[in-house]
Amino acid sequence: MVRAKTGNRIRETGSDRVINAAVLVLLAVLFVIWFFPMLYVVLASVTPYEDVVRAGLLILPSRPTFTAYSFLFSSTGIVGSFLVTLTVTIVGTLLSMALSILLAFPLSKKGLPGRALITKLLVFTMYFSGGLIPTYMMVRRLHLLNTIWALIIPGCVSTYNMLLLRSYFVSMPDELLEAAEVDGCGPLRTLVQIALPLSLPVTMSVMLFYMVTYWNTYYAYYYYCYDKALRPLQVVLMDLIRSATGEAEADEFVPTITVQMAAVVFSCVPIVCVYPFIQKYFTTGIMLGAVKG
Amino acid sequence: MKTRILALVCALALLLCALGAPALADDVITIEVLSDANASDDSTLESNFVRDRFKEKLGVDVAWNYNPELQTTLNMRSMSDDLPEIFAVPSRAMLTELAEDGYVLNLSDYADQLPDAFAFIEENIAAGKVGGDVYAIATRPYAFRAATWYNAKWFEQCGVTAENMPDTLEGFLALCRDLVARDLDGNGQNDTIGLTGTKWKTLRQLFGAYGCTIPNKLVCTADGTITDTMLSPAYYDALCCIRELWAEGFIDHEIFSLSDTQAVEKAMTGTALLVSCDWPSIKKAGVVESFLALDPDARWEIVGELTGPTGDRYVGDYNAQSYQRLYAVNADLADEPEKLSKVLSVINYVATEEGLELTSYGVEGEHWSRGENGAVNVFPEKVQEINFSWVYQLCGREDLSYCRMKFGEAAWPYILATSEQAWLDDVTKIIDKPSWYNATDAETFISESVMAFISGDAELTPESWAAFLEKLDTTYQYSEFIDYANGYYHELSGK
Repeated sequence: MVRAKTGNRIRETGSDRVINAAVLVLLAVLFVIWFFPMLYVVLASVTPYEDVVRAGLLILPSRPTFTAYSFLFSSTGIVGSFLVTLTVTIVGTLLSMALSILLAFPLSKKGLPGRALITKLLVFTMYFSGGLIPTYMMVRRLHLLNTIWALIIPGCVSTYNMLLLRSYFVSMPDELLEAAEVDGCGPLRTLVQIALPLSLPVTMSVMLFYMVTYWNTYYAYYYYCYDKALRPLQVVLMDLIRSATGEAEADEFVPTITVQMAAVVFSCVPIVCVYPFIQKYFTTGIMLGAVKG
Repeated sequence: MKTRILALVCALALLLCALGAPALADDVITIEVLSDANASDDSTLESNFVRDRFKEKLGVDVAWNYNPELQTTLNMRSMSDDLPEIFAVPSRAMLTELAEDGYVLNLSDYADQLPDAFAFIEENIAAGKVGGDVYAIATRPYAFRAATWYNAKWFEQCGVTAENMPDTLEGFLALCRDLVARDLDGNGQNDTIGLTGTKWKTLRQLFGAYGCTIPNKLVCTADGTITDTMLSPAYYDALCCIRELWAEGFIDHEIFSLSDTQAVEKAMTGTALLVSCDWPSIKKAGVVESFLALDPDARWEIVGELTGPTGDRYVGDYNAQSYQRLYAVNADLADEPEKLSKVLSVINYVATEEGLELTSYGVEGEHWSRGENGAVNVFPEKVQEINFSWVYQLCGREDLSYCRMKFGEAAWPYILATSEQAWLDDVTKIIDKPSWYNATDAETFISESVMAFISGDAELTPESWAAFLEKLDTTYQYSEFIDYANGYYHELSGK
């Protein structure tokens, strides 16, 4: 029997309820599949080693302990590498955003001479890069080897991210920017005070892309640096895991699984903390930028 | 005015940046060593007594560059003409390539500057040769470390001690099958596995008891012939035995997905009766501590040699003529004789008695003293301080005495016992594959086929085994490869 409508509420039919329930169950299963490994990592990092090895499934640690974290912070150099990664991420992201925006905004102007040619050349680099050897030679010639700038400058501008920004700038009404010019704004002021505040979704999205890329710096260290003080976080993490899984030299310390899990948690926490603040911009920004290309 | 002041400040800042750190004394040169050997406490590689001794004695400051991505880094730096002075080469194949392209120095031309180094690696110097000349220092391989370990507590509970342990494969397996059938871990479930380990190494003693090796190994027999034991009649019998054990569940079906640590953890938690691993995985002090936390009464002992049906008693394979690492020198140094001389002095020094003592035990008087019989006595409180020094062993070390000092008297009986076990001479690493031989595909075919026979995915009969060998020969020219390996080995080793 169908009940009468009351107010503006739309009544669900029986089949709607069944489908909704099925979707919820499916999402719940997917959530568990996705969430449980992460939960296991966190739980294993605060569980004594012998309990982790004995237990097939960790639900709640019976004897929570931070021994693994204590060892991690005191013996593996992870704190120093965290600071290196933080520096590289902050400086690199700011530099990358500045360069990408300053490249994208002029290219969004139809009146720019050679706009089409410049855009084509930039797109070309997206498909055909110079390769590892020419990049290394360039880094070496610029005397960046074994410096923190070697972790930042080689990958500073991503053509893909720049095109996302350019696409969004193109979609902005020309009249708005012309009105700013009429009111006396120069190009830089137009960009900073008019265009950028309106392009917050795509700007935050691109910033998140750059942040994650810099946060995951790994190969750049081994290609361009050897100073231990410049080791990024992911290098320390990989060394911890490699020494536990490979045929370690007898002389090497083999970190237990709890130490490895503690290292994984430590390396993920900052990104996980930052992401919720950017999430509201993320989906909107990426879709807008992609559609208008 | 403000702009000028700003410009002046920037100029001063640039000038200050250019000053940099104080330079080393004029007679001390800095060289870079690129290697995949890394000390656990790697901050010590920046400043340590070994580096200080090199500066003081040889006038060389050795900057250690640890890099696990060795192959990619070497390709990149060789193409960029930026190779370090000394660098580890990950394989003989790459050494041959670098030698043919002229990137590595022919050390045979400088044998007079490397007398101690060449003498120290005399037994395996051929491993670093290309075309008859030495292009890399092949560091001495470590002593034989493989063993199968048994849970002594469980065995003794059932009245079996080391004295009455069967010393034949058949007897030992019968005993283990009996023990596996009992609920030794007391959990009320028949879930105990007989043997665990990591990958093919798990089965090395089972194959060894038949005089064979795990797949994809070339061995040098007593008469100097290179062969693959897979081609011997006993291999089929070994496969039948292993297949039976696999089907019973005696052998852990997860061995190909386990790491060393995971396999030993399985044994320590009572999931497995036996574990096949090297002694560092089970007898290093830190490892023992963590396992005693699991079971305070745990005791793991070496099974030892077991006589197989063929009368063989091998525990595994060992690369006595091979290398632990290959260290090469940048060929560009030939144009800088003075610098080259210093670089070679570093390599030669670590092979002298003084250098070996430095890189193994530290500084005399500070870290160790000499006993009445000339033996080295390391101060117990200093053992941690010299933890890192092994990375500087560019020619290798006297492994047994070093490991005794490093890992203590508790591990020493096991270090000695494993080294004295019988092994087959594995020369796989020093036989370069010819260009006409598709090594990758052949090795994959062999691994997959043997695994299929063991797991039961393929029927194992004399006819099916013969068909496999036939296909190996016709598709991959395996017999020709073995003939080639014989010729190559004799030319390389001069034997």
